Amino acid sequence: MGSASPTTGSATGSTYSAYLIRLTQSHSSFRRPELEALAIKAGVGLSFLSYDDNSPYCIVRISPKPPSDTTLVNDHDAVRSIVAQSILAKGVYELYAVAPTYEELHSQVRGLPAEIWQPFKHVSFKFLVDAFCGKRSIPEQREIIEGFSYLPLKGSISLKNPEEEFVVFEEWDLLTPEQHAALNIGTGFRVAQSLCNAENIAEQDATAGDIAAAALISDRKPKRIFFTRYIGPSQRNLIVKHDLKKRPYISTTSMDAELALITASLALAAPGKLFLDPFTGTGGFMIAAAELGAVVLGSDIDGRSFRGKGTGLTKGIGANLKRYKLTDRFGDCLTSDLTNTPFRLRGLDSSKSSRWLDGIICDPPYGIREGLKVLGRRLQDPDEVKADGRVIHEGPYYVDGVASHTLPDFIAPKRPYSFDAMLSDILDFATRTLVDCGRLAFWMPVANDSDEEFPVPIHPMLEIRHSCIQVFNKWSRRLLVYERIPGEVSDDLAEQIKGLKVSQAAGRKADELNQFRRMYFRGFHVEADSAVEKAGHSPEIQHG
Amino acid sequence: MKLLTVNFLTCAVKTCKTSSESYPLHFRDAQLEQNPQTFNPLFIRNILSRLDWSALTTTANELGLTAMLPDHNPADDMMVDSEGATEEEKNRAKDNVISEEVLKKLHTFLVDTAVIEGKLVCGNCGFEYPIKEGVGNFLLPPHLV
Ligand SMILES: [Zn+2]
Repeated sequence: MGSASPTTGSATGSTYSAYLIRLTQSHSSFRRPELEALAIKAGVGLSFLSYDDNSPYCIVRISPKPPSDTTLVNDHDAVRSIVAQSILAKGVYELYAVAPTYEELHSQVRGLPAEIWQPFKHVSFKFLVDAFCGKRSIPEQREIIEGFSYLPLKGSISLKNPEEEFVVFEEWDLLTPEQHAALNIGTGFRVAQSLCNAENIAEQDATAGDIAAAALISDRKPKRIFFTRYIGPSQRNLIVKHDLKKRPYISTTSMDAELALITASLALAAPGKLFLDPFTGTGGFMIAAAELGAVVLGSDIDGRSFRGKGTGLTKGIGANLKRYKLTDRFGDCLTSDLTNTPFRLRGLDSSKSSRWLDGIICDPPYGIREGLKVLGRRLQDPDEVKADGRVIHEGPYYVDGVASHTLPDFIAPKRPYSFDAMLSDILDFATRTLVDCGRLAFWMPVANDSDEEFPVPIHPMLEIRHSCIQVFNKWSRRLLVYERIPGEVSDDLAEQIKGLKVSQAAGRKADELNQFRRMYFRGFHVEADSAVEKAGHSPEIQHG
Repeated sequence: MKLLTVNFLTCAVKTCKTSSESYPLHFRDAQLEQNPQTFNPLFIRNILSRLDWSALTTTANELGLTAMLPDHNPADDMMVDSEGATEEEKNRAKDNVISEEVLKKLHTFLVDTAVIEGKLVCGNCGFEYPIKEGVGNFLLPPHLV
């Protein structure tokens, strides 16, 4: 649609280059971060002129302008390239006018310079009316469309395959509880659902009865009307492609495909990059990052989780990679533990080489559904326990005179692992493996059903870029996205971090969390800089 | 396990990390396999500077694949010490592009070549990490944790 037409013509000027992005209403707190991440990936500035978590319409413009040497020649292409990679957007539209009433809308449109319509004068086109939380009958839609007959469009109307598609978006208020109640009978309930939010119910599903019931709320009217032209799609269809129901190898704990793709996107997964999921399980995040172009590595303490029923990968994650034709982006899977990781750690091992990962994405096992495990024997004899909970035992264990770990069926014993210890392991690992500006994105519970709040972990070398919340009935979880601050972790810094409780941050939004982080670590830097005068003037420091 | 991955691995035993003997890990009884993947020049270019070239050379030597690897990291040709370099040298480095032929060769070595069966051995503690059907196992026995 629109591909055959000179669509760049009207947007090269700066006056009219505002765009409407039609968003889905699912996972609303992830939508703006996703677009921001995609803008960074595309190397263009994106400003939000209007955004609301409760609205499916946001208005953006490309600003600041991309540097002249980028391949993106104009705002159109820039905004298109951003939305083209979005999971949570449905499409992008050039915005001509927005107003609370049709009267005002038309007066704005009539006031636009005539050359805007020049490129569309002789192309085939169609008009659409799309009402959010409202409904328009066919005659009403026709009336709205005829209201634009003053536009100089001489081409033929083509409903099936138009070169240009003009869309009138109407935003209505969300239904009040009273309106809901009035509709909450029989078909009325379905109307309410199909009018608001539940986008899985297609409009075509509405029956005549539904439309009659919709008349019950006919005194409602739109609060915002947008006049737009379609310029490009999103890649929301990826969630259909990756639907877990059709995926060959999954488990009950696999994250749904939509959230896995968003996680990879917020970590800036892209062609040419190297990504790792250190708690890979059935490899859902690996698939998501590979789908976005990255080469992917995975590790898990339990190799059976990514192998499935075989010794190799063909019956496990290999089957998924093959299904999606992503085998070319597969790096490796290995069985390993994050606490005793074999991966190269900058500053800790003898290799003097640089940090090497572009992104780390994971959903660590917090022990909510499965027990939290780390390598090591479970406590048996109190004499064998060190201060940090690790077990002391000299030498291997023997079974019939053979070292047990050399037996073919040896399964390394595991011991419980504390929440805080795991979080600081993840942050430390990320700091020592991510390249400058590389990203760490991971999920953690916010609160569980016993109302326990889990604090957000912070680190002096990791800036929090996003904090998005997904709410369930009995608990919530948060996706945290960190960016590696350039610079190396000095030995001094490493020593100091060890003594601090990293999971201290209060606040919910990324900027609140970063403010806290700066405050928290500023005190500590003062101490690190003047190690001689160890005065207790750094109240933010908590030795753990 | 791809030869690329091995460059990012060292011994999992904490006390081995600081020993120069623990990196790179050494192959024993390695059974090689070629699994050609679509050439990904963007990826090779991106990761070149993150490779430890001397470790990579060690790996190539042990597997008898020395001929597959350039004698130095082509990414080094792209960088010039800003202190000592003349204007001319800097400009030459800026215009340098790694040829597609070199990138393809590196792709074959790093991405297409994998060890399917064998062991990776730490030169410091001697622990052997098994590789089975391409999957390496780096879990440590209790006495090494
Ligand atoms: Zn070792």
